[in-house]
Amino acid sequence: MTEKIIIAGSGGQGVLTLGVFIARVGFYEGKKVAWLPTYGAEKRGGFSFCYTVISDDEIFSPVVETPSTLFAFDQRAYDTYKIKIGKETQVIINSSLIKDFDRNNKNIFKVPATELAKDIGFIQGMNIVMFGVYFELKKIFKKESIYEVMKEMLKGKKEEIFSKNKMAFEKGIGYSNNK
Amino acid sequence: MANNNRMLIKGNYAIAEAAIDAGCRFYAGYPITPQNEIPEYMSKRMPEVNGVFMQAESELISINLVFGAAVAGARAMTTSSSPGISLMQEGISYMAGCELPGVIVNVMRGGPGLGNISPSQSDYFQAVKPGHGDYRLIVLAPHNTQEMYDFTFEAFDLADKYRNPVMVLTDGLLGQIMESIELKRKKPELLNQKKEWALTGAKGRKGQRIVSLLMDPGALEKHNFHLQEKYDLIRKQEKRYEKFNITDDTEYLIVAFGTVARVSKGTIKLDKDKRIGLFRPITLFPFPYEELKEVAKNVKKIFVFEMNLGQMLDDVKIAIENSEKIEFYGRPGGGVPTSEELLNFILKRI
Repeated sequence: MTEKIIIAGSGGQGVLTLGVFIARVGFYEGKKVAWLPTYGAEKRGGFSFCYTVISDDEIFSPVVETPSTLFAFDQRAYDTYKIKIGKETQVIINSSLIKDFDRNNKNIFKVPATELAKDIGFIQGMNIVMFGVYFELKKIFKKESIYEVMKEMLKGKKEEIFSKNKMAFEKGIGYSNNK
Repeated sequence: MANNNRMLIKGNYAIAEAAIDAGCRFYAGYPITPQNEIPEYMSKRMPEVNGVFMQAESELISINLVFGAAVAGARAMTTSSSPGISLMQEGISYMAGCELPGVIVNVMRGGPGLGNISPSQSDYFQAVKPGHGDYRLIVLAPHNTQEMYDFTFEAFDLADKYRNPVMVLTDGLLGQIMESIELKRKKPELLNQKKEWALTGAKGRKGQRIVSLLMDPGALEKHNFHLQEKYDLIRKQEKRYEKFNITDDTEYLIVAFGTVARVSKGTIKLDKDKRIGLFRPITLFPFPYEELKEVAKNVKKIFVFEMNLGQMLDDVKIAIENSEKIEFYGRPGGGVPTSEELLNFILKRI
């Protein structure tokens, strides 16, 4: 199993955080992982992306040419990365912010993640809603690992933040099941 | 994040943690992307281990602070990225002239000039054929996060063993990537070896001095011969390299270091006919000329891949006299090749 992920969006949307989160879940499950961010001049609102590779084998190239999964958080991210979409690429788009996309591609899963996150009063959880969809579509991780890593990453923060993230995650799962 | 002895860590942090584990208790640096995690980490970690963290006012000062710490016998390190290393050249030459141990990490970015902040290998020349005067650095080139830790750790022992500055030559990709590593915390071998030459105050002993200005007739020439003997010993004892997928059936050989070497391993995995192997120099000085020559003897073609437009290529040409066998492909200015891209190049040329 090798899962090559590109996550793209804007600074402040939790692009890099989601990448780290997925890498840590992979690590927690004993897999080889590599996470490579954009770095340097990023700022809120600027373009941001990262690569996350999860594999049973050694990871040679952390640079993802054709992703097995592409997360697009907004229109600019989709427009920038649509050229990387291959036949097998699972694309997950935040349809709250992406209106213009290839409607013939059956591998594009649309989720109004910003709206769903707003519904639970946690707009910052948009990335985790998207992850919930991914979790359910791909079924490569165990649910316990998700909660364990969430706890670790949120150590020292209020209990409420954990439960909100959990809600966002479950919102994503629920949405993908009702589609 | 730790899981038994496994740890998920960014390359830059792995370098910093390795230095601490190796007994480095003096760090000086000045911010520059893509290595900023190192001073950031050191500013927090050094006080915890009773070490010294100095944010210098420039790279000129960083290297001279390291000079000062080294001359007093401390294990010292500075880190920077390409333009910052250029500023350090004078100090590095002084350290080599004075035979001072110290570790310098270059997390390379695109150049020339201020360039950009993307990963690059364009400082190969500067590392292996460094600044003014007839001197050498020991140069180690990691290709994953594990080696960022291991080589930085070992760099301190090598520096002390030969009383010579050691450079860890890496790049922005390896600095920024987060991977799992196996932490084998061990004792640095030479940490407690007494440095008789160090300037620690002349109480109870004769005064001694360490200088790089040798004006007496013949003195500097003699000193250079002495340094050369040391470099020869390093050439004899410290050459390191990796052979990957090299068998009797290997028809095509890739020569690459650092990031491009790991990308090349991906290329080898993609090759359906299983006829490509990799020779990866780990020490760029001393360069494993003879070993490369031996491996290259029976292959049809040698592909040199770099993130520059042909620097290590010169050393490959020194190793392999029949340079008609050599093909080169490079990405300058911050370009990082993919495994597919390298395979396509090979398939076009064979």
